[in-house]
Order: sequence, then C-alpha cells, then structure tokens
Amino acid sequence: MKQEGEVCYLDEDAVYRLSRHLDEPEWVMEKRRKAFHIAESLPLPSSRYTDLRRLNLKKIQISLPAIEKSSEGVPVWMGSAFKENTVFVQRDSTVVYQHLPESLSLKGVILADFHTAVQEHPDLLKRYWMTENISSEAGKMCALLGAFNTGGLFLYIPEGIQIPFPLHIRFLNSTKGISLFTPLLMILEKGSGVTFLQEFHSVFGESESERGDGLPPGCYTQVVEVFLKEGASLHFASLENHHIQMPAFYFKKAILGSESKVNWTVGWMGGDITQSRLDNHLIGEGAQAEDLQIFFGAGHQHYDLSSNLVHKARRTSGDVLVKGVLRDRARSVFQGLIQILPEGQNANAYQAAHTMLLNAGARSDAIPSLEIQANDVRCTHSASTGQIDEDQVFYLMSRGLTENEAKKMMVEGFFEPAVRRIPICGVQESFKRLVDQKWRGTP
Amino acid sequence: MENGTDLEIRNLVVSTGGKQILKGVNLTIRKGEIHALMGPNGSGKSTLALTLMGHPRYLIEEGKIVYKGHNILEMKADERARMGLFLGFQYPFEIKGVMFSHLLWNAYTALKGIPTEDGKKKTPLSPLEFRKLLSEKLKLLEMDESYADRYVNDGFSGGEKKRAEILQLAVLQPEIAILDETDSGLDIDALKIVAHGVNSLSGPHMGILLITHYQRILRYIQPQFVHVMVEGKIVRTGGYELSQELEARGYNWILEELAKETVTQNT
Amino acid sequence: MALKETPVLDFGYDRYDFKDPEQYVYKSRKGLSKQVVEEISGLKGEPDWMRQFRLKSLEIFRKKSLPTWGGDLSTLNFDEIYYYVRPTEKQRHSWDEVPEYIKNTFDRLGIPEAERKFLAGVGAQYESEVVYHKIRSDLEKEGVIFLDTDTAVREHSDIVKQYFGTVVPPEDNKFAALNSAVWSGGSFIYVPEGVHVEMPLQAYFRINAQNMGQFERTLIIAEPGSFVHYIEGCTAPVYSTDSLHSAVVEIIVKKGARVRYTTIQNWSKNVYNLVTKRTVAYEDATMEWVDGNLGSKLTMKYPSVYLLAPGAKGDILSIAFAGRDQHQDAGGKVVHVAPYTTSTIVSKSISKENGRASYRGLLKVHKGAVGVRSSVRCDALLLDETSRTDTYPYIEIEEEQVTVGHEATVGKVGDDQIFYLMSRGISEAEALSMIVMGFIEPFAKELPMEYAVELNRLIELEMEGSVG
Repeated sequence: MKQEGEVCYLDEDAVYRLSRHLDEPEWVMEKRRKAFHIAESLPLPSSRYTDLRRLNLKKIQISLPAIEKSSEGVPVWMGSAFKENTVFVQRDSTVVYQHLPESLSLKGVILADFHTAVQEHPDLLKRYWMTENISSEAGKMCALLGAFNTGGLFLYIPEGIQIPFPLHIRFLNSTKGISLFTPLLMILEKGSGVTFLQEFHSVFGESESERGDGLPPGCYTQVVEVFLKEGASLHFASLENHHIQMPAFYFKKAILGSESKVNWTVGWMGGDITQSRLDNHLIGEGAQAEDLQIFFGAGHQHYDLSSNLVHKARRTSGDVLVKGVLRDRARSVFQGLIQILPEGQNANAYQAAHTMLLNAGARSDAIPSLEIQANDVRCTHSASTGQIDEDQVFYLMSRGLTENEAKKMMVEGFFEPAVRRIPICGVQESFKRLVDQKWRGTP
Repeated sequence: MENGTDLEIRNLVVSTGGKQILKGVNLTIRKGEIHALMGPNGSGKSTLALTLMGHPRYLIEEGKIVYKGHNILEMKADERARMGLFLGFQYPFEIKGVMFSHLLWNAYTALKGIPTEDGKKKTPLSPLEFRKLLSEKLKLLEMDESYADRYVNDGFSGGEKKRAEILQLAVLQPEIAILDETDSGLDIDALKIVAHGVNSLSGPHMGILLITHYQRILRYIQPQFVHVMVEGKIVRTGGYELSQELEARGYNWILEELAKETVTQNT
Repeated sequence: MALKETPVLDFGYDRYDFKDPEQYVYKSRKGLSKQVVEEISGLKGEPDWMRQFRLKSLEIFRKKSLPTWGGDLSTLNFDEIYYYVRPTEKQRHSWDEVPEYIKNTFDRLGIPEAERKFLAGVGAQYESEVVYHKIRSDLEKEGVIFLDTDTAVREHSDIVKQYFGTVVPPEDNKFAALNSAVWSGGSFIYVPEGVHVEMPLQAYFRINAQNMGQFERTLIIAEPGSFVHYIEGCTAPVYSTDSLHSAVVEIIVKKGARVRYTTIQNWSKNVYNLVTKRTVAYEDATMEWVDGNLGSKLTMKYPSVYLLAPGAKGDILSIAFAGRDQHQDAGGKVVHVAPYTTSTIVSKSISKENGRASYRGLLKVHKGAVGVRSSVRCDALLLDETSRTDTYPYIEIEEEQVTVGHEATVGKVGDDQIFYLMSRGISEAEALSMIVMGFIEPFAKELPMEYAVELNRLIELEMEGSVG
C-alpha cells in the first residue's frame, strides 16, 4: 500500500490519514485532531494591513511524506561543500541528509525529525510541544500546523553542553502545489548553548518526481518553539529565501528562564506574502532577548512582521531592531509590543523599526506599542519611514557612481548597522550576498 | 561654639555596590579654611564628596560625619544643604525642563528663607531682587544672562557645567563647600574665571574642600592644608608645599613610601 | 531614595468640590428616549432641521456599539443619566443678572475675574445651558460672533446649518451620535476674514447635579487669514455616582487661518469624559490642539486634524496626568489628505497610584499626499510601582514620498536628579514636583500665563506628599 506522495486537502479526514500513514501513537493523533478543530474555529489572519483573501485554504494540498530517509534528494548543486557544518537537510518533509557528530550524540544531544522524535522521545514532546494554547493564540495557520505538521526538527541539548560549532540546517521545497507545515522544537537545558542556522531553498524543477507543473508553489508554515532553561543561550539565524510566489507564515516563540539569552537574526528576502510573529517571554530573572530582523522587499512582496516582548521577571532585557528596504510595489507592516508586567521591575526594553522606500509605489506601516506596568524600567521605541535621500544619491553620483550604484550603496549603508549586529560569522556575508543578488535580480 | 561650625569626618568607612571604597577617613574642616584633597584616580575622592552630601548609593559602614555638633549621617541631602553644606559635582546631572533660575530661586528660598507660622518659608528677597543677585553672580563668572533661563545643565559643555556649579555656589553661599574636580574639563581661561569666582566667595565665613587630581588649580586657589588620599585613606597631610612636591614628583613616591611603611610594619 | 513607598493621598480637589442645591427650572427624566430628545428640541424652540437631525442621531446611537478598545465602559449606565437640565430661563450678558448661586459658583472658580483681566470673551455653561455669555464690544463690531450654540442655531441658522455635523457626523461614533441627539450649549465662534482675536475667548463648563450628562456642542469657523484662541476649562463636584460628559467639537480653519484650542480638563473623579474633537484645515491653515487632561474617572479623547489642502499644518500637544485610579486614554489623530502638509504630535503623560495613562494615536497619510512630514513623540513618566502607561501609535502610510517618525520613552524619575536638587536644599517632595513640572514644561509653556500658574498649582496638589 503505497500512500507516499498521496495528496490530501486540509480536512479532518486528512488528519487521520496523515497520522495513520506515519503510524503515530494515539496521543499524537489526538493532538492533531484538537489543533484541527481550533483551526476550524479561527479566521484567516487578515488585517487592515494584510489581505489574505487570495489564500484559498480549500485549495491547499499537502502530500503524505516518504518515511524512509534517503540521500538521493540532495541536489547536485549543493555538491559536498554543504556538508561542512550542515547537519540536516530536509527535502519537503523527508530527511535527505543527517549528520550529527558522534561526540554530541554521545553526550545526549538529540537532533531528529519530528516523526522520529515522536517515536523515540515521546515524553519530551508531550511535555513541550504545543502545550500552552499556542495554536489558538498564534492564529489559524499555526493551528493548521498543529494538525498537519510533517518533517520538521527536534533539538535537545542536555545540561551544560555547549555545541562548539553552528548547526546548519537546510529546508528544500521541491514540489509545486504542495504546502508544507514544518514544526521546530528546541529544548536547551541549564547552561547549554548552541548556534542554529536555517536556510530555505526552493528547488522546483530539479526533481524527477516533480508533479504539478504549472501550479504555483504551495504555502509554507513554520512554528518554532524554544525553551531556554537557566543560563542557556541560543543564537538562531534564519535566512528566508522562498520562491517569490510562495506565501509563508511563521510563528516563533521563546520561553526564557533566568539568566538565559536568545538572539534571533532573521533575514527576509523571499516569499510572496510573508506573515511572521516572534514572541519572547522573559519569565526568569535576568533573561535577555535580542531580535534582529532585516527585510528587502521587491516586486509585489508583502512582509507582515510582528515582534513582542513580554517581561515577566526582574532585570530582563529585550531589544528589537527591524530594518527594511522596499522597492517596486512591495509593502511592509511592522507591529511590535513591549509588555512589562508588574513583576518586571528593572527591565530594559528597546524596539526600533526603520524602513527606507526606494520608489513610488512601495508602502510601509509601523505600529510599535507599549504596555508598561512597572515603574523602574527603561523603555524606548522608535519607528520611522522615509524615502531614500535624493541629496545623498546626488552626492554619490557626483563622485562618479551611477544612480543604481549610488542607491545600492545607500541600501547597504542603511542595512550596515543591523548587519554588523548579526552575531554569527558567515551569516553576515550570506546576508550581504542575498542583498546583492536581490538588487541585481529585480530591475 | 567654634567647634560647632566644624565639619568633622571620623573614621569613615563607606562602600557602594558591595565594594568598600573609603577605609577610615579622618578630616576636619573649619570655616575660613581651604583644604585640598588630592590623590590618584579611583582613590575615593568623589565617594567622599558624595557621601558628605548624603548620596543614597553610598553605604556608611563605620564612622561619623559631625557637622555643627550634629551627627548628620541620618540627614538627607536637602537637610544637609540647609545646614550649610554645598557640593559642586564632578559630573553635574542634566535636568530637562527645569530652568536654572527656577532651581536657584527655590533653593535660595529653602536655604535662606525665614520660617513663617504656617510652616512655610518667606523669601528674604523679592523675585526682582533675587534676579539682580543672580545677574551679579552670572557676571562674576562671566556667564551670559541667558544661562539663567536655560534648563539645568541641559546641552551644556563640560566647562559650562562646571561654571554653572560655581554659579550655584555663589548664589547659595554655603558655609562649607565641597568642590569635586571643579577644574577638570576647563581650559586655562575658564579655570582662571572659576578660580577668581571661588576666591572672591571664600573668606572667614566659608570652609572649602577642593578635590582635585591635578595641582593646576592650586596655583590660583591656595589651600592652607593639602591631603593625599590613596586607596580610601588619607595618607599624607601637609601645607601648600606638599602639593608642589606632588606636582614635581607625581604620586608614585608616596605609593613607594607607603609600600615601605607596610613592609616595616609587617616585619 | 525613598520613592519606593508612595503613601496614598487625597487629591486636592477642594476648590472645585462644592455643590449647589438643585434649583432648576427644568430637569428631564432619567434615561434616553425619543420623547426626551423631542422635549429638548421643543424647549429650545429649534428649527425643524435640527429636530430631525437629533432624531436621526438617536437612531444611529442605538445602532452603534460601544468601542471595544480604550477604557472600561462597563459601568457606564445610559439609563441612569439625566440628559437635560435647564438651570435658568434665560441667558445673561452681565454677571449681576446671573442667579446668585450660579454666580457664586463661577466667582469661586475665578471666572469673572479672569474675564476682567485677560479674556476677550467668556461663556459659562452650568449643566446643560449656557448661563452667561459676553464678548468684548470691539470684537463684536469687527464681526466676530461668540455665542452659545443654541442661540447661534436661532440667530445664525444659515451659517450653523452649513457646517453643523459636517466635520463630526453622527455616524462617526456612538458618543458623537449621542451628543448629536441630546446636545445642549457649547460655543459657536465665527471669525471673519483677516480678523485676529488677540486675547483668548474662554468657555467654562461646570457640572453640578449628580448623574448629570453634559453634552455641549462647539463649532468654530475661522475664515481665511483669521486667528482665534479658544480655551475651555471643566470642573464638577465629587459624587459617588458617575456623570457623563460627552462633547463634540467641530472646527473649520480656512486658507491661511490659525486656530488654537486649549483644554484644561479637571473633571472630578466620577466623570466619564468621552469627547470627539475634530478640525478640517485648508490651504496653509494651522490648527493647534493643546489638550491637558488632569481630571475625570476615564477620559477617551483624541483631538484630530484633517489636513485637506497643501501647506496645512496640524500640531497636537497632549498631556495626561493619571492620578489615583484614573485612566487617561488620550492622544491625537492626524490625517494627511493633501500633499505638503505637516504635523507634529507630542504627548507627555504621568501616572501614579494605580493610574493609567495611555497614548493612542493615529497618523494617516493618504495616497497622493506627497511631501508629508510628520513626527510623533511620546514620553511617559511613572511615579510608582502601581502605575501603568501604554503607547499605541497607529501609523498608516499609503504614500511613499513622506517622512514620518515616531519615538517614545518610558521612565521613572531619576534618583540622581532628585539627589542633585536635594543637594541644593530642596526637599524630596519638592524635587519630585519640580522634575514633574519640568517634564510637562513644553505644555505649560503653551498656556497663557494665568493657566500655566493654575496648571502648576493643580499638579503641585496632585504631587503633594507623594514622597514618604
């Protein structure tokens, strides 16, 4: 009975078929079923800034994934160079490459796709995965992920283990017309630390088994849940470079214990409509969260980004910086909330969103909100939107640069202070390369 | 009665942020005297200044500060100011929205006001007379009239801030003035103006503790007593000649002598 | 510094907290009905168009729901309110003719004195009706009209009809609809082309009765090149049950004209203050809202400016002081419809003793409004651990050739600043008070001297004994 590759719509029957196909225990199926009912009860996350009516959920299809791991799906262009530091490659929902050094697995570090994790580490998944009402809190797409997730990644780092090199993960989308719901769960025990880097590639047309020629790409949804115990630290970098026609939805949430630290770096380059929400809950004293997001929108791209800081303990600090450039008819909206609860005395919180518009037709909105219930805090936010400064362009041109070069230089200059803050070497370069590609790729 | 106007610091041990800074300081200042307190950076000079004025960040572990016969340790900064103490800050704070004239008028009333029956204070000067006083003092420090209506230290350069501190000294006329590195950040012309200001204010009615890292200002304001502080203690006391020696030889010789003394004591 | 424990203090509201016995010539039944609306219109002898306008508005009020954002309106009971109370038969133009008890009220509030000293005209509204109105005769000769809105409806029906309800239509929100149905009193100001009214015009609003609803309606028309500064003050005695103040203010600023509208709102802490204020500004016109909110239980008020033609300018300066258990949900709204328009919003708020100050603002730039410049700045000061502040600066930009910025800071009073002032001999309480005054200085600076003094006094009262 070859079910692999079979296509389903997002209905209740598909929940059972998927779960049975993956041979999941009862509790997993139950969890999926519950999430599906929550999804049913929620509206599409349209807002006054983001119109999702084009997204017809009735037409969204997923396919039942292959269960066996295979290495055949690694695209030739990746060659062998990618293996350097790359520990995990997933093509659609199937693991095509996985290599965690033995030294780490012996220490108890776990790196697995969700399907494997459900079988081998049910206790951890039961305890941490989508436990709080995350599915309803984060909206319909997140709830749908709860019901239809496949593939994905589970990372567990035991107490005191510092992983000395970045874990580089790659997600490939290869099948047009098929949507993916990718779950990520990371648990960092006391005093552990890791640098995590994920990259996305759309590789349509390279696979023999490609189907649905002429179809648009499906949509992509990712939910990342991170638990940082006392003193743990995580650098999470994500370079998002989906196909330009692919709608993408992200929900990331970190729960930070005392003296723990998370550093998010997200580069937004691809996608059609992208809707992303990132929440940091600082529940332990002295916890620190840094959120750096950089976007470059062109064509008809639309970035709808939110970032929330919830300070629930003393001496916590949060720092959000969002910088973006828009050209053509691209749009962005940033919504940010800093919440300092009465328990959050001595908190420091910063939030800044700055956008540069390169031409008529682009548009950017910002809604940075504060809710402060403790008095001994330092809290500021700022937002600005402006067009590229014509005087500066002129000045550069008077020194012999073409208009295009001048503007590019200004865009790079605009990103520079943000890029410099990216804490992972290599990612700065990758980001600059993507900006360069994007600049050249769009007329 | 003479004793009643002294500022006496006895065996003062002070810590901040869990770290002991002053380790037993003894010093007496009388009206009419000018004392210089010198010492290398980090020796505790500013801590002493802020402690004398009652900054809440400094914790007194041992010792006493007696002023006019009262132990003032329990007093807050404003009470100390009303008793006649003044601190010229090393890093004066900026307060947006509050004008100098407004601050000084209120301070002047608090310090010099005559208590009335309803517990409030009546000002000894009319607002117009006060403005005149303020103008005189601005002139003394060669400051423009417009400073009176600027926000307290807001957007001032380092030198302007220091001058503004002495302006406040001039207006409030305390009995004991502690001037914490009033000379740093001043160019030579400004230094002369400030020194001139201090000299014309000093006299038998005022005692001065001049805290400085450099000997430079002592050429213009001559102290009768010079103290050297090292690691939270006053280790040498002498006359004006001590400061000249320090200028010529730096602080190292004192440190070396101290090291020898320690060795001697230990053997 | 001993700022950690803030003792609970009483608000020094004594000067405003006195009650007159009720001696009214007419008081409507509690609650709202078609009959009440018709009675109000009938008693006022209004033209039919206004009666129809009121009845239509009542229907809209019934259909509209309460806002789901902002403050807590769950305890506001529309059935417990007296919608119309007429204290006297007739409006006077000399204080001597005003009934003794009402005159005493305004004497105690210092209004006749202020009129003599520095005002070009005064209106005084007691409950639903304006009981006194006067404008300097020289201004009257220049064609300036300063009347209560009821009289204006009768005497200048053509002008009123042309503008009334055009800036804030009853459909705008539930409280605008309510005001449109039961409005009474308020000021009507008409400034002819090129006339500058150098001294301010003032209206003073007083609620005396318990469970009273005051719904004044103000309409200001500034013809091209003219200028006027209008000031309003509001107080009420303290009752254990709630009163409602729900005004509508409409302002039309024509080419090159400038209007400044200053509010010092000091309602007692049992008043819901839910007000809609809006201006349309034409070519090169300037609108300045100076909005101070000190009193009330809950204020929801966002003065707005629609910049309809190039060169128009809107400035909003909002200050909110949320004392014990108060919620000030204030802010401003600017809509840039035309190109080359500019705006600034500055908001300063102070919260203490469980008080909550929220800035809620909207900055909107329409498609085609190129060359717009706007900046929004919000600063909040929190005086103790139980206070709260929020900032909700909505920004919607549909045009790319614009420059907009938003900045906000939240902080507490710095210990170092307090120490610095104390080292100069100032007590801790005074030092705190000075810093708070300094914080709102940009606002006080914009007020005529007498009001700045009054404002400082009010804040001193609020601050008194804030330090243990």
